[in-house]
Amino acid sequence: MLLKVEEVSKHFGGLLALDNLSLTVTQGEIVGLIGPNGAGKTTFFNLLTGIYAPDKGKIFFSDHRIDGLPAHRISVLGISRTFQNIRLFAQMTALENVMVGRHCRTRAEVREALMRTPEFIREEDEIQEKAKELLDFVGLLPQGNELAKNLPYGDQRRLEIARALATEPKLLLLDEPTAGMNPAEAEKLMSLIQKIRLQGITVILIEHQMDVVMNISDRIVVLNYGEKIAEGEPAEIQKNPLVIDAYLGTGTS
Amino acid sequence: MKNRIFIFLGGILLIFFPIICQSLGAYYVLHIAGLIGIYLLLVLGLNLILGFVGLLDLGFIAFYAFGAYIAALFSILGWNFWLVLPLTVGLTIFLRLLLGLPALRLRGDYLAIVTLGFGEITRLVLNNWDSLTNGPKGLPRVGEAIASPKLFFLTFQSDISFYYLILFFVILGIITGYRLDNSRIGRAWVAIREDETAAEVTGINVSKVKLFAFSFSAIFAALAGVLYTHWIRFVSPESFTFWESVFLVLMVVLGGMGSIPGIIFATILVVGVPEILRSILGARFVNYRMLIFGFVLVLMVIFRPQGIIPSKRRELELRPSEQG
Repeated sequence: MLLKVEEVSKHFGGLLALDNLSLTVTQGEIVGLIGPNGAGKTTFFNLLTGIYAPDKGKIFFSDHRIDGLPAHRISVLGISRTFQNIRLFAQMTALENVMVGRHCRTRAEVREALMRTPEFIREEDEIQEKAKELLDFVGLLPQGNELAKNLPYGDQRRLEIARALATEPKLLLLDEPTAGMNPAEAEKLMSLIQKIRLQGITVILIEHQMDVVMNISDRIVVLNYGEKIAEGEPAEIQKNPLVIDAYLGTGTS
Repeated sequence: MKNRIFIFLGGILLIFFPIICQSLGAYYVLHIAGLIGIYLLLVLGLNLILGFVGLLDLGFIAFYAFGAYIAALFSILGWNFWLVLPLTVGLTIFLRLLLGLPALRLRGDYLAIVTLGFGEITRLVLNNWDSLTNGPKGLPRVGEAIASPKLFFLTFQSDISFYYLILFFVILGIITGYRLDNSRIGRAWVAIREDETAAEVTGINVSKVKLFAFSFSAIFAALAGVLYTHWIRFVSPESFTFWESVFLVLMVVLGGMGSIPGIIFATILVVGVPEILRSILGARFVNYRMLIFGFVLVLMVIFRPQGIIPSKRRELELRPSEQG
């Protein structure tokens, strides 16, 4: 079991954002997380990555209990993410953005940097090589020296994925990766996610475009008002009356 | 290659500059050059924290004051300069840590307010702790003296000798800035400036890295203080007013946050030009310089917010890796 979430709740003031959510994810899966706006999907990601601590419940990630750990520790353990509203390092180049992702897997401190020791130079080369490899992987190598803020929207989304991959995650959380993309771009992104899965990385994906998420996910989890209302294979979910209600409203027949 | 030639020529000019000044009898210019050097050290230090990490520190001058006073106190006791130097740097870093531990929990404007307050408190303490600092009369007291640094057969006493000593540390500071900028730590600093949350999630221990950068910048302030004290051989609280902190921030913002060539240019401009204008237009000009700086800063923020020489990120060769 890669990820095990046990009865996790989180509220903000009077708003119950997540209510007793339990979930398990096994190695190598692509899990689609869907639900209407405000259902608690992003909050769930924020709990997994340590931006918030849950009010109640436990989260285990590859045998470590991670709820309440600081975000950078969780990142080192192997959870990485992208953001719904892209959060790149705007004034850094695309390549540097990915190089920052290598931070937690490299060691050089100030002393090595100032002395330019052989280890520093070797490590720096390694960081660069790896970052270029990842840029190439997401198809952004030619734009490597562009400042992140100058990249077109779709490229920024892919750059964020490359940065997340640079931390060598076991679990990748994608928060609406196709938001704002046209169908062709979304298609390309889906094949990128497939490629990521082939590397053995588990993916949880928040997505609003139903055709996209139904196509790519092995399993779908549906949230509504912070509660898990359904879970299963895409075909089952599409027929589930609770899900249809949540999205379309209750019929009055 | 072009860069190399530029640095080489610049280096020669810097080395012969004092000799040129002396032969022209422009001793005053040499003194200004030394002063610019001291400010350069401070600005290079502030640039690490303000330009790279993006923390608005309005009390940086306090650590310049610590450097200067600690050095003065030990030097009056007769300690050797080369012992006072590391000791002062160490103690200043320690004091910086003490401020950083609580203050760095705050973000943005709140940090600015706390550091501003700390700067003022420091000045007031120096002004009022008579038994230690001799209050507004400054150090050394009558009958005491700050010894001049010695290196083998050299004694650093004249403006010209201090020009070279300060130049040495400024060059070290510039190299430090560049090397850090293109390293794992420097990238983490800039990442924190750009987006703290994203940096944390990307695996950077933001609070630790911030505290380190904050303390590290104190080395520059301490060095500037030690050198200033031994050069001028007098310190008093009036050198460490809030306005000095504002000037430092002005130089970093004017030059371009995080841009080393930019801040060097801005420092020369902000420290040097008023002195030159003073000798041309008379002392009354000095009263107007704040007005002019204020005006220039407003214009900058409107028309060129990225600074005179905006910081440029390093470009790397982008060939695909051999085994795609």
